[in-house]
Amino acid sequence: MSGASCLLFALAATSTGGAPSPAPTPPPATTAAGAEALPRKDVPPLVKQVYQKGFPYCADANYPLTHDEHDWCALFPKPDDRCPALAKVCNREVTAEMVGQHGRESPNTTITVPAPALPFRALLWIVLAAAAAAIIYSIARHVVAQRAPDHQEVDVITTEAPEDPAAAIARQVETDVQRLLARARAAAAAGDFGTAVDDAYAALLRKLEGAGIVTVESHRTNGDHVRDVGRQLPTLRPRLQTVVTNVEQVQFGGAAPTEGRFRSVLADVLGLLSEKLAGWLPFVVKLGLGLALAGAVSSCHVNREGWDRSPSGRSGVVELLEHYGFTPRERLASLSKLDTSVSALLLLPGATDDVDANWPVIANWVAEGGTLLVAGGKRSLPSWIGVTIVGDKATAATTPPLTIPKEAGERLPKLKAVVPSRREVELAVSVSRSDDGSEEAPPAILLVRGKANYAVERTYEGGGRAIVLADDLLLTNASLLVDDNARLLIELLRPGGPKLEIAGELTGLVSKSPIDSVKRGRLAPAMLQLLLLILLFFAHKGAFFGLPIGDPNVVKRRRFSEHARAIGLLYGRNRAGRHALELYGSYALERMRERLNLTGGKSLLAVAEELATRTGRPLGEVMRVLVESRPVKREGDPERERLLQEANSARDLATMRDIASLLQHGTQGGSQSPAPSPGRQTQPSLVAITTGGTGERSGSQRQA
Amino acid sequence: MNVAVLKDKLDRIRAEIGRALIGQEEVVEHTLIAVLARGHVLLEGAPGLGKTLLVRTLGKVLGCENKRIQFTPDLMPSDVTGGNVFNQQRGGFEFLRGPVFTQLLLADEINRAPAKTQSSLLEAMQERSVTIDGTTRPLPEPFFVIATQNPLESQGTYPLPEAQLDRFLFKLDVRHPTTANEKAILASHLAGFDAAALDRMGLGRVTTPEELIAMQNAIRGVRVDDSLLEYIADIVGRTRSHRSLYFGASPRASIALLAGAQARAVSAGRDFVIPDDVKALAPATIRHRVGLQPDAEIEGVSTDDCVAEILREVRVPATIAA
Repeated sequence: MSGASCLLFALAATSTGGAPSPAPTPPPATTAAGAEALPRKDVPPLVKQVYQKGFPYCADANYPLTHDEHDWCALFPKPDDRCPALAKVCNREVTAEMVGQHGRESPNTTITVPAPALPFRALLWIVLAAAAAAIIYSIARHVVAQRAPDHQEVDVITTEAPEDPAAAIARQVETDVQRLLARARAAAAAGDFGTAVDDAYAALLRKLEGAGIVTVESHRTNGDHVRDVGRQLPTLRPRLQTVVTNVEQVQFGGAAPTEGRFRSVLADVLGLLSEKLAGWLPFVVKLGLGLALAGAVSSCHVNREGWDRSPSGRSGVVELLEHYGFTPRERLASLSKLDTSVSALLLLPGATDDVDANWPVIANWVAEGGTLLVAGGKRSLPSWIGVTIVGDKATAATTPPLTIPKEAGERLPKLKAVVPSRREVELAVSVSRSDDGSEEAPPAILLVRGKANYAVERTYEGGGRAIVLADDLLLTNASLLVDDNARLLIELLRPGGPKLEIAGELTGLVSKSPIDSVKRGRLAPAMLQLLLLILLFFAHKGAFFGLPIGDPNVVKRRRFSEHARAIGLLYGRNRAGRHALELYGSYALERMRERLNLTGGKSLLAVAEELATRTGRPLGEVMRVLVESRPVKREGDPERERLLQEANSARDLATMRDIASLLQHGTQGGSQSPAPSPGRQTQPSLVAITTGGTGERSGSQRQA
Repeated sequence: MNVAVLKDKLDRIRAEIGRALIGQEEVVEHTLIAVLARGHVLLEGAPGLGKTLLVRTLGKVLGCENKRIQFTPDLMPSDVTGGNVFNQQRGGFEFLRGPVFTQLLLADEINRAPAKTQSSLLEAMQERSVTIDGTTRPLPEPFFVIATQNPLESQGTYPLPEAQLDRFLFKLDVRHPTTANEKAILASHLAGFDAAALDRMGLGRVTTPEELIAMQNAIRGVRVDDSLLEYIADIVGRTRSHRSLYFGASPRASIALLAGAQARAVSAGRDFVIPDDVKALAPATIRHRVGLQPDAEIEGVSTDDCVAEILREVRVPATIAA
């Protein structure tokens, strides 16, 4: 049985069967949940205690009020010792705007940056267009580069020497231009013209560095700086060269650092410092972007700080409740977890999503004795409450006080309360029917404002109650100062027990799923923009994101062949062709013995005979090749060996080719291989090994 | 001879060389610096880039006797240094001087000759004398060798041993001319320039050998600050511990760099060396004096890359950087 139907059943059980129920009985002193109603206390001293802590609108006569807050001014007592400056604040009229529900913006006290002028805006658009064009061009170039896989970039091994962090910290140097100039002048005044010249020059370099013209790094020389300046500001190069020459004469030329030289250097430096070193375009771009950003920031700037301590805030209400004996707590957990540990629940206007989703849970909780106070808000209330908040229109009507109907006289004590009625909101009490068609008892009307209902209360079997207010004005700091508003609020909440939870915007903020989080935070547009940016970056960078526009071709075969060639070149340079032949010959002979069907044993002759049969080549020739490829005994004279190697390099190459041909063709099902031609290179690496070069043969070797 | 006079002479030498050789300014500049620093130069470049023309022009402009040796695989040491030949008329041996007895020697394609012949130049380059049959004969002053080699061919070539490479002050890479320069070369040929007939060009002789010697002596007086000595030593020292280098440069490289920097300072009209002089000449001085690790070579790293990396690591004297 659902919670709602439970309540309806309870309602039906309390009805008199079809006839309008008599006036609602006074609420029991205790609730079935076990929470005791708080004993009555004197409220005004508590309000005074709350205001003793100080609110900004009580101390600052220039405090800006919004329209809604200013409406309270007619109701505030004058004078009010609890809030001394309030009268003056009210005299200032409206000087702030409400932004959203909890935002206050004070135009008169906020410094706003004017919107950038047209040239800057135009410049900003130009820069954005140029950036977009650059990205598109880069993508297009990347795509074209993908279609030219043969273009290999040489891998450059460049690594920076790692800098010791401690050394870097220890070497912190002065980089401020003006301080360097001051230091230079001070050194000159002290007679240390060498240091003065160095500092003056350092000031110039730092200025150039700040303008992005030079890069000051430990490995860069003055010549590098002059060249950098020459590239970007050619007209200044001669002047900088003059300064550099003067400085270097002192630093390296042994020239005496005299006062005259220092003054000359300083004059040149100051002359250069006064030049417009930075390119105007980057400066203007930066300025334009900065103004645009400032404008964007200022346009969304809202003074949210101190809302809780403003007249519209609730911090004073919470403190009052605490002083009275309540234990108010802002509820963050979802209302789906509402249980009887909470005796009273205050629903503020901002708590909508989680509340709407959990009315059945709230209904169960109320049925078990909980006290629900709905403080207005644009929401549709469930049928078990039987109340509808209607009407939200501006009115210029005067402010009638809140009156207690006779029927509610026992529920609420006699008091005087009033709230501003700039917006007229009323409660429509609906007549609900039970399952048998009989009308159920309407809720009790607790407060009336003029002709409209302001607060109603419905009680349930089990001691639970639901109190609905037309708005939340009673729950503001300003309301506490007016008549008996504070006492009225306490009386409304007191029967519910001390454990009060306040459900607001943050209630149930924890989402159940990422999609829920995005939905709640209204993050979809931002995430879509982020996704678009990622896609652009993905298209721009390409390979780093997997397979976007096509992976760059990894020419593994080419790289391997280059690698093999490089090894061959090394062999060649070291005259290791003979060694390579012997190694390859041994390998080839083993393979031949494995692959050939040798019936007459595995001797060299048997292999040669089989190969000769298969290839059709003369036995003697095959035998020669096999013998020549075998390791020879070294005679112990390295120099002679080296000379022999050099002399026989071409023949070794030919032998290696023959071996390769025999291995390839002689062991493949008996196919006859063509006789190797001198000019054909079967394996480039072998060529490189024996010739120690590119594989091209000289004329003399060709003939050999 | 003061710096201003030296600079003026060098400017005139450059201008005269520029009349015959279009482009290759950096090669010309480094070669002149090497001449001033009493060093030898190894030019590496493809055929047809003007290496021989440079040497011949240089010889004419400097007023030095110049000879050319075309190194071939069958060249013998005596073909370079000369030797004793029996004179029948006199009934005795007489020494016939080889082409090394000159002031400016062009050793063309030096890597084509076997090591035995290459080594015949070792003594000449270092000691400026040759010893034949026990008799040491001094070479003319000034004496410098400009050798060339072709980087493209390795078939039938004999790489210079490290000991000989170390004798060259600079190794310069001669690159192809820019399009503008090539166009100027073509225009020059259209106008009648003939590289084989330099005499017809009327190249002016700017110096004499004696003046050249005086210029060489004058650069010894160029001031070198202590911090720059440390800078040079630091650069060369790091070649001995660089991860991509199998072996680093010797102190001869430090001396070469120092002498070259002094000459460059004079060329710029200064009587003192600045860090730029050292940094500008470091690649040409060191690239041929170091050897690459095999893995670095396979990966395509060059000695120039290593030198550039070292230069980025070494702190320049008197820098304001942290």
